[in-house]
Amino acid sequence: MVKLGFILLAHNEPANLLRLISRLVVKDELVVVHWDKKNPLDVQALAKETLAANIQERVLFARRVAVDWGRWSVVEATLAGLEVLESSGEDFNYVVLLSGSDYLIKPINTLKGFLAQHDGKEYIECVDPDVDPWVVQGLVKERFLHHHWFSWRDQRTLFEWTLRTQKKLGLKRKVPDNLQPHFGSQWWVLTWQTLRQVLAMSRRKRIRRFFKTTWVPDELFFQTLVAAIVGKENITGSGLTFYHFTHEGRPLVFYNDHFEFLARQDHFFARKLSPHATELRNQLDAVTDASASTNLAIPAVASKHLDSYQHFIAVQWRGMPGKRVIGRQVDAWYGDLEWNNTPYFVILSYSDADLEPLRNALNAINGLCCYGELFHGGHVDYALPGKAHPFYPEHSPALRDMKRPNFLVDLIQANPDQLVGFVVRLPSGNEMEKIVLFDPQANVVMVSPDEHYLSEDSDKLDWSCAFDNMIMGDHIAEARRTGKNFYHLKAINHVISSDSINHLTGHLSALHSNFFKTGLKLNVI
Amino acid sequence: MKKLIRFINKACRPLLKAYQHGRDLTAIIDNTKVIRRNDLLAFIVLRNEAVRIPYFLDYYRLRGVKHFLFVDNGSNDGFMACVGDAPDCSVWHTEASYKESKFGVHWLNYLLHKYGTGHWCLTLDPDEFLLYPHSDTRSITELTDYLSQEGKSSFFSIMLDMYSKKTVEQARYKAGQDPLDVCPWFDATGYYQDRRPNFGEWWIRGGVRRRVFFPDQPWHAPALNKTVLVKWQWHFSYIASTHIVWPNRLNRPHFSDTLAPTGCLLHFKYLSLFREKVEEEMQRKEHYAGSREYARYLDGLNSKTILWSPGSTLFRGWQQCVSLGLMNVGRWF
Repeated sequence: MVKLGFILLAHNEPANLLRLISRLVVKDELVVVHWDKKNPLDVQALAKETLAANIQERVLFARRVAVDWGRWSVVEATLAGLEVLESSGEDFNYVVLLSGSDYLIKPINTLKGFLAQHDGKEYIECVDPDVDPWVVQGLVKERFLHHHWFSWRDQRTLFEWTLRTQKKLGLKRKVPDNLQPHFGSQWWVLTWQTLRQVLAMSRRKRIRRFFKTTWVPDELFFQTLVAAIVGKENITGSGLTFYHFTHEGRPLVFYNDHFEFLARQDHFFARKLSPHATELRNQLDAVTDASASTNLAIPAVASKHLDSYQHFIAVQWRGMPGKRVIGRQVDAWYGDLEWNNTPYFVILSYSDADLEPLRNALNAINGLCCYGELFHGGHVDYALPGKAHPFYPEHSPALRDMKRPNFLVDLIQANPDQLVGFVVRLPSGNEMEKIVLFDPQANVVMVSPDEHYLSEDSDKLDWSCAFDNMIMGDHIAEARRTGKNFYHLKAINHVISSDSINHLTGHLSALHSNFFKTGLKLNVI
Repeated sequence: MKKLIRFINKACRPLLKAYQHGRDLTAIIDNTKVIRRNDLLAFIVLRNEAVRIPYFLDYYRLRGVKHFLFVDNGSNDGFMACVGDAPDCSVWHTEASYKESKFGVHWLNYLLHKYGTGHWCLTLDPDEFLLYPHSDTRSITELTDYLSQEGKSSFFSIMLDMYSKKTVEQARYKAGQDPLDVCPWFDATGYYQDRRPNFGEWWIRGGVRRRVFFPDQPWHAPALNKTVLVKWQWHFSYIASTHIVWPNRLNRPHFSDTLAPTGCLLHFKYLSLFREKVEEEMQRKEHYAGSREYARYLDGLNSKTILWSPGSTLFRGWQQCVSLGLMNVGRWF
């Protein structure tokens, strides 16, 4: 049977630490706790009060070091824990390094079975910086090529200044004993045999002095020494603790709703759990209690299952497609139309055209919904009984006019699965006639008059017709300039021929079924 | 140098005002000694809202608020009995004018400066309930931990007015009740957002207030943008209620490159208590813009307006707000 030792590094949240300890001790496991000297709380006394007697006798406390993030003291604290394990006189197969905010996600016995299957392997991430930079953001080789006397967190200017000066002067450090520096996550599971050699090496003055002024030695010290002691074939290249760093290089934190995400992972421990995630810990306890002896099929190298996380990040990067983002607008002119990804159609017509036959034909088709002149005049002309938007009553156009594109998007959303359209008669006097020329979701139908400047029975110029032609001509030119494709209809004596109407209804109903019935619906993720 | 002078000017003026009006406040219960480092605090100005307090305290205690600091502006409805001897509440009392103190802003700035510095602080009315991504499984403390880790020191939210299907007077609320049982409806669409230049805040108007009380002058509808959760520093100050906060960067809802989580502030104003409140406030004339807002409310209530409309949406949780585009998860996995 495999015997395990644990080293726990903790600096706060004693309740979660003690909870973790009581999960780790199943039989003869030995747990060494390193409690940060900076926290004055007497965790030893607390453990005596709260832990059960059989667990208490398997918990030891290491010499306390004041731990500074990214400095040698982290390694020193780990070494202090190893010394306690050594002086306990017991023999272990494997030693696990964990932090107080980690938690067990698979039963201890499964871990033991797993370790027995792959005896002699070292579970530590070991990356050669020449092959793979590993670090998400920031310094890589500079971490060991230069001295770092100051903390990046508290003394950033000094830290950067010393680094810059060393670089300028061309000062480079030599790695002692021909060690080949390797990087990796701080959290490992190593054989006791190897760790004893590491402990022996760590007592060499040269090595200690070298690592004392490296930056983030906890991601360098054990990795480098293990790579030197053990052959490559025995290093698996990944620890047994599941962790992930975000794009900004910060560890992912797990909350009460992450149970399924963690349960999917091959690893045995997870880092790091929110201190308040009690419910998640309860759920994980239930799993680790229930299947104590099941032999899970776990590959020798535990790999991360990040699909759902990566999907989430990809979707959230700039907001969800087709959803308004509160507090962000690329162009205020378009209002909510910027986020709208449902197509709609607009009938841009000259002032006198008789559009009623066209509108009636469109509204007769299932799925099309052609409103009247929505944006015109002193009342909202829905011209479709029962289809008015309840938030924008016909008699209060001010609500509509406060931001016309938003009104349009609200109307589109109020008619799901329908291709919404409306009429704009030119000149309309508001911005919608221009906006639809730039909006990719707008399907524009232009209705222009025939070119009969002269009325038939006299040779007088028909001024209104000429004027309409001019307006429509300008607008069509504008549409061409913006690259907008549009559908062009001619009204002969203000009447649109039934052939043209049929053609247009066919076109729009095809558009409707393309978008709403086939898989082209973009706003579903 | 110019920058320094401007900074001192901008930081000190509200502070001077805050200290000037801070003298109005007399501590009745002062439990602020129990506040520990990194505790989440809540600051509340109220007048005659005792009925809302029990559920309010429960809601925020459950979500990680460690201490409540109340400014009681002359309540006479047994507010003190409501607070009782709760060890996590402190109360200041004042009979001074609400209007004089810029609608409570100076009092809040005073308390925030004195007790809130270095803490994440919620500044709320008793009828406001903060909804944030994953609010059913995660606490506000976890949210603030995430925001601090990402280097953001404020959390933007949009106010959603909640209402019932009946008239306002029929929406009866009992102490301790979840107000969502009474008022589960809200407007899912009909909002307008715009960025204003001076403080760079996103000015959001719309919802039921614009629709029912300001249909003819929608541009006068009250602002719905609120930045109620801020990691307070000594030089910070609220400018106009919790709509605007200085320095300007706190008004930014998102990171410069990507999206941050934002929230919704569920606002339960339209209960049966509202009528009395409006009549009283119209007498006092202690509200913004000559109590224009309250005059409108009174008009609306005289004719027993039902706020509900066929376009209203039944509230189902934070996921619904995200899918309606009223709230953002950002990249908080």
